Amino acid sequence: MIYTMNGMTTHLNLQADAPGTFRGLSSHFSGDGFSAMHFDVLAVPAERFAAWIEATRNTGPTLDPGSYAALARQSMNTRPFTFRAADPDLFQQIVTQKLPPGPGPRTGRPHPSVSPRTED
Amino acid sequence: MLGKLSWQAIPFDQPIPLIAGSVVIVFVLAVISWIVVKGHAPYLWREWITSVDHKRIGGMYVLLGLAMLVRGFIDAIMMRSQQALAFHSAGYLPPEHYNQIFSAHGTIMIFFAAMPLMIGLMNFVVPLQLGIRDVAFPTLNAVGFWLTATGALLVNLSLVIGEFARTGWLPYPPLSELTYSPGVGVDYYLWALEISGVGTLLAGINLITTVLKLHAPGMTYMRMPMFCWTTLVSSLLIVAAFPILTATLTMLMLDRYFGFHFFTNEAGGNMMMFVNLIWAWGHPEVYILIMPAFGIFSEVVSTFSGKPLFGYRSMVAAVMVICILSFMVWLHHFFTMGAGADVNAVFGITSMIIAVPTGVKVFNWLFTMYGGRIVYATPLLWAIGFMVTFVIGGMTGVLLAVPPADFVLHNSLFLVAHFHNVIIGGVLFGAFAGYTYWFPKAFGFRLHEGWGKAAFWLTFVGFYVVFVPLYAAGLAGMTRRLQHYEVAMWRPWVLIAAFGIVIMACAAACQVAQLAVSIRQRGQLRDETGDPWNGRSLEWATPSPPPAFNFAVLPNITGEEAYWGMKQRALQQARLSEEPAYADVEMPRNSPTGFVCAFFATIMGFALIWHIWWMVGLAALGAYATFVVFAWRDVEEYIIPAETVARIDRANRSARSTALARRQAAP
Repeated sequence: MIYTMNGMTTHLNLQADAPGTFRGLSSHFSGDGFSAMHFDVLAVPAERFAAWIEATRNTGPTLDPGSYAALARQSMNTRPFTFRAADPDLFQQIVTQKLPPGPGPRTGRPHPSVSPRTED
Repeated sequence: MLGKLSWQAIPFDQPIPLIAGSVVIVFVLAVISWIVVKGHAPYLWREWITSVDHKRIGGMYVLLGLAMLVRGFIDAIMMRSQQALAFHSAGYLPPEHYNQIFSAHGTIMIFFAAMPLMIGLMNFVVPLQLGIRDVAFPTLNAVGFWLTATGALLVNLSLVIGEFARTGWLPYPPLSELTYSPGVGVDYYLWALEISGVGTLLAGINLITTVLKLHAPGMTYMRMPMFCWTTLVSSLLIVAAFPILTATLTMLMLDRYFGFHFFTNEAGGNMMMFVNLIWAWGHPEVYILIMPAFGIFSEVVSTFSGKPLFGYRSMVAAVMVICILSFMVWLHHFFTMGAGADVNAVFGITSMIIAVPTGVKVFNWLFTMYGGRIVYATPLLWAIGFMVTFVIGGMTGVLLAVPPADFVLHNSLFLVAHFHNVIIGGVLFGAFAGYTYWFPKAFGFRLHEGWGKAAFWLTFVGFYVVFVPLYAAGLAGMTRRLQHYEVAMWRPWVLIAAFGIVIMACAAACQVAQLAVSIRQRGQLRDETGDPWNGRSLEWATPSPPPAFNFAVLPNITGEEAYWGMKQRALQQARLSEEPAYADVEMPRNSPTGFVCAFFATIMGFALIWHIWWMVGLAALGAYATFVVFAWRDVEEYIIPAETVARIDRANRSARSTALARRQAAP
């Protein structure tokens, strides 16, 4: 694992030289939805990958500052989805903290009491 | 008027904390009313609550530690049972509750179980071993204890009023910042630790001064028992490291209360700094805990092998080296932060170097036992169990100190198994060894051996049944703090671990039974001579329990193992040394300062958590006034007349002459 932190760039290396399904997971506790934060990595032959790229390019929303803000909101058990394209400047804007971080479970003044129950 | 506090804070819709809280409240009320009805309240106030006697304070520390150990263990049972059930299912604890449980488990076990157990034993034993009458600052000692109790109370209060932190036992930002944890949980954590941290710091200052400045005549540094040395190291680490914790938590507080940006996501905050600082305290902290345990094992191994400690000087060198090295390894807690290969390599190597002085100690204990007349009493069983378990834990630690391996194992159950391996196998076994070993000194009767051995074996076996599967699950990729999981491969390991916790629960029941049976049979288990184990250091020269003044006349020390030397002389000459000339003894007067101060600190902490500002002001004023009243006291000491001292010491001497005659008559 490697920590993911504000203002930090990390190079992630993926070596997919044989087909298969691999489990990926978040390993640093981050709140109530932590246990559901895992995913499957599908390593597929080159032609299937090319077909997947082709299909993905034609469906779904674009990743830009607007959809990033929605993505950065706290959520749990979201189904995986893809973006058709990404704003080329977006990564730089995130890393240099030009875009604000995701809001917490509530906006505005924190609510008075919080006993063991999920907010929002 | 009451800040954030309202009826919503009581979890009426949450049966588990509500029932648990009610049971605790009913139990506490029952105990208090029993005390009042039976008329024990004045005695308790006079002899314990206001006491500044290091033996009483040590006893109360240990009692607090044991009570919190039970609370932390109940959390552990809930976590293991939740994980056993939560395969493809939500289990019985929702995340918001489960996350509080593991956070509370870690916080309570480290700060309110392990620390009080260790500080309590140091407090009780060190002045006796040094041949002195009390610690350097007796009232400060009481303040330190009661502030620790305040912290424990606040953490337990969060069970029924509000919530506890849901961030893990170290509240890493940004999760612990106000934006992502708007509740009072993190505030409970912060104030409980700030207040008890002051208490711990006071205890550390007190013990350093005691060990460095107060000795019986002739008790030079190189004649001090090993436990005094490890106490010194542990206290030095407390004084050097706890201010870092206090400062770090203060920064987080400023973020949360005043909108500062030390560790926030935005406005230049840097969460890396929190992780860095908290481990600059956190790594020395594990040595603060383990050092006294090493001292206990040194005493126990030497006593029950009937031999002086092997390589005393190398042991002193080893603990001092660990004292320094422990500040040079903290980065191994976050190799995965991305500091780069060179930095990681340096800290990987320093972490591995710590294994060298630790290895020296293990060999010293083994050579102490080699050729000794070994008595397999319960304390020695804990010590042997420790040596086996701790070596395994140490080796998995060396493995984790390899940065590439750590990238795979960081935050996995392998790590969880590793630190439980060293903390249970080291600190907890050490606490139980010390508790069984010094119990007769504190209360005048031994603990039942049969129940003690049963507790040891069940803990020992139960430990392996819980944590070896967790090593395996961690290697298979299971991370810590999972509330539910879907990977079938992890399931068997989790189930075995859940079975193991049943064994551990039986062990805990044996400990309770041991105490109950021992109290009932205290007549048979009575320690008449004050030296039940054929001990070697000065605490065994006093009667059991020792009088308030410990030593009628300060002993004159002529070598290592002071009491063993006296005993050998008495055996050779077939009589005790000459009766000394008794004089009046001055002892510090009891003072409610500690208790009253902690009372106000509790109110202040609670008010700060709930933003009840007027109450904060009143409580701060109260705590300050308490100190002023104490500072203006006229009478600091009271006199124990020479006749009383003589009477108590003559009883001790006559018990010892009888024992001497008995030993001489034996073949």
